[in-house]
Amino acid sequence: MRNWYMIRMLVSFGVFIIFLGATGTTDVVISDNGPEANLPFLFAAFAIAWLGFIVYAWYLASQHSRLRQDLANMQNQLTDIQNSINNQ
Amino acid sequence: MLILILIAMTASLYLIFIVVPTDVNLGISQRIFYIHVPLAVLSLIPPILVFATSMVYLVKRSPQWDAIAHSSVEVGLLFTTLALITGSIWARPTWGVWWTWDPVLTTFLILWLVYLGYLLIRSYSTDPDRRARFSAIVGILGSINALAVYLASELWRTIHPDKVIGPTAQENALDPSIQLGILVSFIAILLLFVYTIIFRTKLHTATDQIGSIQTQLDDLVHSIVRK
Repeated sequence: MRNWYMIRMLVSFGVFIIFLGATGTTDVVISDNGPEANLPFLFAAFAIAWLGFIVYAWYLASQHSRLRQDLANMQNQLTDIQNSINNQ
Repeated sequence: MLILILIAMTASLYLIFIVVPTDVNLGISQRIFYIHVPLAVLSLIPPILVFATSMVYLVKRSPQWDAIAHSSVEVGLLFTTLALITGSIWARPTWGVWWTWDPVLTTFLILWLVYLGYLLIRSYSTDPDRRARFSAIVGILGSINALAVYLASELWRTIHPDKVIGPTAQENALDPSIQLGILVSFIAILLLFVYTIIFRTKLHTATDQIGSIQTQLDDLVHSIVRK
């Protein structure tokens, strides 16, 4: 379910890129007031890249924790089976 | 390995923001290059992995190879997405547009769509063997597009900057301090890339094994209940 949600988000990103391509040929005034004029672009690029890595790390951590939960459930199931065999 | 990644990342950030000179023409936004180039170059590694592991999977039918292919695509999708975004942010102050249908950019977007298609196919199929077989075929066919991305600037006229690293790059295209910055940044992101693929593959294999044990356990419970 979570995978499906992420895929939908990525599809939306693709549509957004195509939209940018369709609208991106308009005239744009580029700011060239000194070497630090484009600082927000630099900040945005690094922030998004790091955010991307963090979100993916969070996704992997959540998968890992789900796996641990599955293992704990299986252990409980095994204990129940063992108890029922002992009771018989 | 995590400590090594942390050291490499810190060194890379130090070089990018303190050591390397600011580009006279592009200004400070040129520093996006240090994260965009490694991301874009490393986005071309997963197709090679997917091609090789999918071929081996189709011959041997061992789930381990499918796990490596799937993990490579997932990490490849992350790297391609980030390369597209950082490239788009770099393009805005440099070219004046967020996106343009340049051959390099377009083939790269197709690579991103191939990764997405691969994951969509996997999410639709419930039978593990069928899912692995179909995705291996898509993986093999889709990997060929990576070659088009790599050769796009050679085959077509493009506004994308020339390659500054790799076998077809111009010699002495970069200042030594910029070369050091890009090298350290590349190593840092490469380490992260390798670590993520290994971790994701282990997670994938463990998920498959737990799923299989769970099915066996459920069968055992049912047989006990019937008795």
